[in-house]
Amino acid sequence: MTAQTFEAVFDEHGAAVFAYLLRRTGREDAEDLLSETFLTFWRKYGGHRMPDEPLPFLLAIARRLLANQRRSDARRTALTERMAREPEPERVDLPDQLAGTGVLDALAQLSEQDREVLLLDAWEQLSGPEAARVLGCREGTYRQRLRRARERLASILEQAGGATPQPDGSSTGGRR
Amino acid sequence: MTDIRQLLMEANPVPAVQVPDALRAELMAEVQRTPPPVRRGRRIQWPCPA
Repeated sequence: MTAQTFEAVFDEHGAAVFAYLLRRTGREDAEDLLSETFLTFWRKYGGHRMPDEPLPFLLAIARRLLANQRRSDARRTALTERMAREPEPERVDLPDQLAGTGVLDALAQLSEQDREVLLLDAWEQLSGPEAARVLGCREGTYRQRLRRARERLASILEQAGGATPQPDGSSTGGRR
Repeated sequence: MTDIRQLLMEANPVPAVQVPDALRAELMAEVQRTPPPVRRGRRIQWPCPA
């Protein structure tokens, strides 16, 4: 991959990676992580044959960087709390992006893994093979996780008294 | 019955974005300053900094 190819990849996929990050963290962090994601991609594939479909690889890098940042933030928060001798919080703080509407509140009650499979499908519009590549698992495993996550979200929404959702009656990917 | 996927798509807080021009320019400048590594077999040789 040459610098020119890199530029073309950025122009084609930069906005998608930026949107992925903005849906999961604040704007300032998203901008930093966007640059870091593409620089990591450049270090890995610069002067070397890059993947035919780079978006899943870019999202996988972004996802890993985001997880590293969250772990680092959590450690810093834990240290601050210990220093302040305050009791441990009962629940983990959820991303601000997930507060607000009923669906987002329900989504915030799911595990990180359930949320990610649902969002790769619905928000990132990835196909099964693409999402599986981002998560580093087989496509069959991804589809199983997606089905279960939908069932759990439907159950939460039903308990909350909202609409009665249909977990399995929909398509399972946008970009196919 | 409501489709879960449809519900989630409608709740997307960031439907589409544009990358700021300044961020793109900074990144491209950084890439120009960082030549790609030279791969020889399994070894990777990083170019000497200018």
